[in-house]
Amino acid sequence: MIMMNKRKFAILLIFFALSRSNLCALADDFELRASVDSNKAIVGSAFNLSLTFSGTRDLPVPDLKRIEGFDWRYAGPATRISIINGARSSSITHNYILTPLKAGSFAIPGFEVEYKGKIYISEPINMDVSQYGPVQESCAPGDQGQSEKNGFDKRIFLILQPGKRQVYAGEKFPVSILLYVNNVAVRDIQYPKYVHEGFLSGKFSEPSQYTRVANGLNYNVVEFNTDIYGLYPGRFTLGPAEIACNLVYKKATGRRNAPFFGGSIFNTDAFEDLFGGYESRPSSFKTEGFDIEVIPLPAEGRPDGFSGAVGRFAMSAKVSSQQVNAGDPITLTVEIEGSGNFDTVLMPDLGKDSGFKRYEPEVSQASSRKCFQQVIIPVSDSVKEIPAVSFSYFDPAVKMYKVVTQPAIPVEVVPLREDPARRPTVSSAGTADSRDSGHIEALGRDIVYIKEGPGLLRPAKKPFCFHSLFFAAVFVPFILVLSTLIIKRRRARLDSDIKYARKCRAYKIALKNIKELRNAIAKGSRDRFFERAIKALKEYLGDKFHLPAAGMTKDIVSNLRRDGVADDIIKEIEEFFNICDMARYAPLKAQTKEMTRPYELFKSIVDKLERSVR
Amino acid sequence: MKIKYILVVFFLQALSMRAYAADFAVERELYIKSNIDYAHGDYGQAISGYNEILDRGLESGALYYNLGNAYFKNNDLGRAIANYLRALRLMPRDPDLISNIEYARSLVRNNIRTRHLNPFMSLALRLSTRLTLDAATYIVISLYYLSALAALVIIIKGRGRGYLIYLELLASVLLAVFCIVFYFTLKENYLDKRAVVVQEELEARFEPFDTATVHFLLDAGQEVAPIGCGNEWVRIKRPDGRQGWVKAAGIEKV
Repeated sequence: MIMMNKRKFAILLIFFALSRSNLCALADDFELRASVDSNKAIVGSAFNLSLTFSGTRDLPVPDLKRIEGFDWRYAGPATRISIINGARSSSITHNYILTPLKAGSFAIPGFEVEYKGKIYISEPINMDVSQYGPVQESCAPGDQGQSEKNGFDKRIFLILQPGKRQVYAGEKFPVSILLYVNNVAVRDIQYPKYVHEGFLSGKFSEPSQYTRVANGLNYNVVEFNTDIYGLYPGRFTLGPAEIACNLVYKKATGRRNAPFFGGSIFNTDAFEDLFGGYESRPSSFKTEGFDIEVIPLPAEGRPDGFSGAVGRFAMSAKVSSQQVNAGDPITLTVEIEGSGNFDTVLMPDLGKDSGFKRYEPEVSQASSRKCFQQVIIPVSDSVKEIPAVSFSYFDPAVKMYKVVTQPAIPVEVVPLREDPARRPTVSSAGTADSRDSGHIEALGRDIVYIKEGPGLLRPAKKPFCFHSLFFAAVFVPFILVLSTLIIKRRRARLDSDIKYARKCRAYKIALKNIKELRNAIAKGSRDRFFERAIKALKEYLGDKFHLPAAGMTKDIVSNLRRDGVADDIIKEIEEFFNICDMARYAPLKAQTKEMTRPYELFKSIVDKLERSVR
Repeated sequence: MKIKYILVVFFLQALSMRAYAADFAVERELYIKSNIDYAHGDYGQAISGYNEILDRGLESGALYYNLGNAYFKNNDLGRAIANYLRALRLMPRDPDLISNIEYARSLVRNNIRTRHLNPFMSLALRLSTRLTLDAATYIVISLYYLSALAALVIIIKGRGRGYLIYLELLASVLLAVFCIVFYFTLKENYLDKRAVVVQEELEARFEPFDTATVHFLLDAGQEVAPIGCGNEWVRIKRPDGRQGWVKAAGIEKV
């Protein structure tokens, strides 16, 4: 509990301290300003007086007492707090309505306010009070006479502010162009243009906007800033500057005074706004020019190697590596920071005798710094350091030259072992002199020398892939593999499919039997012939139709019709069986003619069945 | 008996090679003489010598290379590149040749070389540029026989053993890759007709007439593809696809 209280107390203490520090900071920024809407007024027509006290919101209502020529009443306060980039600011504005009592020129005196024991006094304000006629609040800018009459030129004007009237050649100095606007509607403000012969000008930065009191009037100010520098000595006129914008003003219509609309509801400002009572007209504002004297840089004390840099600069240098192999590159980075003219800031030179080959540096530039990155290569392994680099500039603030020097950076160059095969060849363009002098080495290029031997001299012929042997070489393995595959599959089927195997061997056995039958006829062996013939047909039909060979008789031959055997073949088979049966069971004298008929029938049956039944 | 037969074959082979080499002694002498001419800066004489060997029906990568060098030194960039390209067919991995052809191409004005391939095809193309057509053919044939042999063993043995399957797979994949390489080599060296412009500011016209409108100009050394022939005129295509008719004498086919 005590710990908690201590912590809370500490937080409160810090908060209090911060609050106090803020207040202390703000205490130094107290300021009292008095401003009016317009410093021209009409008797009886009220206008606004604002008394702004910046730095606090706690100021009580100041008592204006008596103001000569004016009656006043308090209209109320307005407070404002703003926090920009963590910096807090606050203000209070007390508004008063002032009514002129008589015509003439009056001075609204400065007001005194006491705050924390200190007296703050505002600037007095001059007022012109006229007796007659309304003040035209808005008018066309083109009506020059009318605008001047109504003090238009005091309500909007342009100011050119050079930072210096006497500068050194090459010295950068700021130029501001300010557009003051009081109670005039302005839009489409363009970037200003200005004459700057003899000067080199940069681009304008983004314009800033703020309010400023001038001549007792509260102005909205648009400020354009840029930097310029004189190119060469002489007296030159800077300006005039000109800015273009569009002014918004009320349309000059006859409707207000038209009898039909007179006094009606359509005559109000609200309807004027809604139905386009305002229009913009392009306008431009000019300033006067200023004479600027550009003086030359002093010749005395000008250091060697001065490149024309004017300003105030600091330099730093670093290297990518402090230990390298001979021939390897090092990146030297030189950074120059400060304020001044960076266009004349150049890379400090290492010098010809630095022991390094130097290449063109890469340059990057920002608003307040310029960075150079230079690749350097040690020309020999005897190099021990990157020599000190110096940068000189002219400081216009103290009117003298200054030199900043970065000390030498030690480097270790590791020598390479001598390897003649890896030694680079240098053409005539890269002579020894040019290498030693530290310049960029230019390697030559040309064709490689001719070949001493003719190589494999041979008759010009077509490549092997166009030769017929190539196609044969491709074809043979293909056929070999394909036929092996077919045979292998056929064998596998023969082993697994008995019906197919019997059908395949039926014809082979039939041919063999035909041969034997022919031999039997030739020998006149009748008994053997018929015995063999009937057995051969039974075997053939049994194998062909996957039936038991012993069961093949004349009576079941007609059943072969179901297997697609034609009638004429069946008749031939029946005839064959009849002849054989008669011959076997009715023995006759052996005659060649008697054996020929069954032989022919057998051949015919086999031939026809092989053709018709697959 | 078999050993005796093999020895006889080798002996005959050696004899034939000896005779083969001995037959080219004259050409070898001519080659060396041309080299000497080249070394003395007599490039015209060197070109004649090298061309004479070619006219005798002989060729070699070194011969085309030296001829290309001689043309180069003789300020004939077009013919130099044409001969380098011929040499490239016979010795595609020769570093001197690659260096020379790159350098010669870098000197060609307005050289257009465009080719867009997917990564696999560009790898195949890169492989193909490292091989002669004969080498690619022998590799393909060898892989083909290896694959066929493995397939035969697998078929005969029935169910193949593990290593045979892997061997077959490996051989098949390599065969497929080298078939593509072979195709690219064949395409680069023979199927794609190539020619080199040998004339400065050769006019390519819309039609094969002297009066036809000029379509574009070609510089010596630019590589084109002859796609059609007319009477004294050749229709060519630039690598960027533009086509035109040029005088046949203005280009040299590779």
